[in-house]
Amino acid sequence: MTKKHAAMEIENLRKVYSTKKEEVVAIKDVSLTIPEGKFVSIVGPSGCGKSTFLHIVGGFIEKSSGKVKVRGKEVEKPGPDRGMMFQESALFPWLNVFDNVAWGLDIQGVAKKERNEIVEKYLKLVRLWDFRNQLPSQLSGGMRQRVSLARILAFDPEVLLMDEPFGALDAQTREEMQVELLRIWSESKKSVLFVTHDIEEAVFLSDTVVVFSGRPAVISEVIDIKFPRPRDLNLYKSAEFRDYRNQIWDMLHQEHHKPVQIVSEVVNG
Amino acid sequence: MIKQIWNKVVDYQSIFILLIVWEVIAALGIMPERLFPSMFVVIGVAYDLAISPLLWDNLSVTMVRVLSGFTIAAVIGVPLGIMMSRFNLMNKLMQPMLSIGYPIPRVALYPILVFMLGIGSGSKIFLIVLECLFPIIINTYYGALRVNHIYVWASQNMGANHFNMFWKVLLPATAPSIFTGLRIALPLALIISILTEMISSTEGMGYLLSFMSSSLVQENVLASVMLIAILGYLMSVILDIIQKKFIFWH
Repeated sequence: MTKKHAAMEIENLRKVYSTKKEEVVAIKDVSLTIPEGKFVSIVGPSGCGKSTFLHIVGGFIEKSSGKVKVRGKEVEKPGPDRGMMFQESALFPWLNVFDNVAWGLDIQGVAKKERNEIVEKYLKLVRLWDFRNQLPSQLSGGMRQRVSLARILAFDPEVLLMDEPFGALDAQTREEMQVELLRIWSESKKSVLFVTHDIEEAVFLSDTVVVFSGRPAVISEVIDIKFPRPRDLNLYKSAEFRDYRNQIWDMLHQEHHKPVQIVSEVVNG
Repeated sequence: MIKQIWNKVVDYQSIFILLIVWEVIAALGIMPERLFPSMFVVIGVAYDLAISPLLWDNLSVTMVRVLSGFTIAAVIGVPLGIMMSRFNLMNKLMQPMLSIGYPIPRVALYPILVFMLGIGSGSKIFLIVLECLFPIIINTYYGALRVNHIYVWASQNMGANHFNMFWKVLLPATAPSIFTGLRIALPLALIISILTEMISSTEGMGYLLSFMSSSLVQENVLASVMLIAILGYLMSVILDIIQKKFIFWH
């Protein structure tokens, strides 16, 4: 009998940056649980440490203390159990779309025939199969991010981590991508931890929105978004949507108007 | 067709201007003809040389030295430069050697190398390697430092080990800078080879050059220099073609 674990458990995560003079606490004992199959977003003012938080969960940055568990297994290093999507395209510019998606499968030693089937499946899922021979530089920003998503889904991670993946796109493309992401997500049903500074994006996509307040990052509020799925862009126009948005906006706004504090805290002298 | 030729002439107009100025000076007879021969005479001698075994025997010797020294330097320098960008200890060990070694006129070491490695190709290739290592390591290192860290992160995310990371991420991502280093190193390899052959050798383009000089016939010397210039130019053209093939995404 195995105990049922949450998709992601983060316990008392702390990140301290040490300089010669002082130690700056960037993330202060944050705990967060993402249940299986849920879409959880983190919003917060820029520079609040939400991206750092995600990078630690991804294993790219070392944490100072605390635990990160994926399905009960503690993780320290980056690995294919957590598919990470970045704000800028992380596609390799020297490989075409097909080879980019195949890259992760190749290094994991997936047989060629199976690999080709997987790549085809996910490039069709993101509707870019016809562009398989193009180089990333020949695609638009939105298309590049769809290829990035296909590349991550192709190696079948247990959870998805997304660091403002649509942050560099124009408003209209961003909305298209949100709908696209929900469509793709509804097929894969992987748990998602999504970082954004865009409140509406967070409300539209998520089951739960976690509001970070900055410097050091702590969770100031957790809000469940109770819209049914599937969702479409008309949601943006509903009154409840605006209520959620305003509620979160007020929280971030208050945060903004707090008196300026010394942001560093000296730990252990 | 005529337009293409004209474009080439425009591209290399500085060379043509130089040739014209040379011809004018030669025709005016400001300098004695023995010291300042017409370029047509030089080209004639160069042509005679080009169809004689004298050139090809010496050229092949030089090319073997140039290419083996250059290749060895690339095979050592590229991984070293990339490793320096990834491992702090490696960087700490290498940096002093680079900053102190770079300004040294390494050709000055040649007499010592001759004692150690003999008068043949060994000492010459060694010096070429030494000379080429600097631009290759330095350009590779700074290029690898500038590789966007999200390529590295993305590859780690997909489960890449050090081997994958080197061959499939860092090497292609650094390739444009590596080629910058190679482009600087290749002419250096040729220069060092010829220089060392001029100092001590019985074969090679440098030997040919000093042999021609000792005959005191100016057009022979100039013809040799002209052939070496053509050789260097062709080598850079070939490197250009290879670069375009490898770095098509730029």
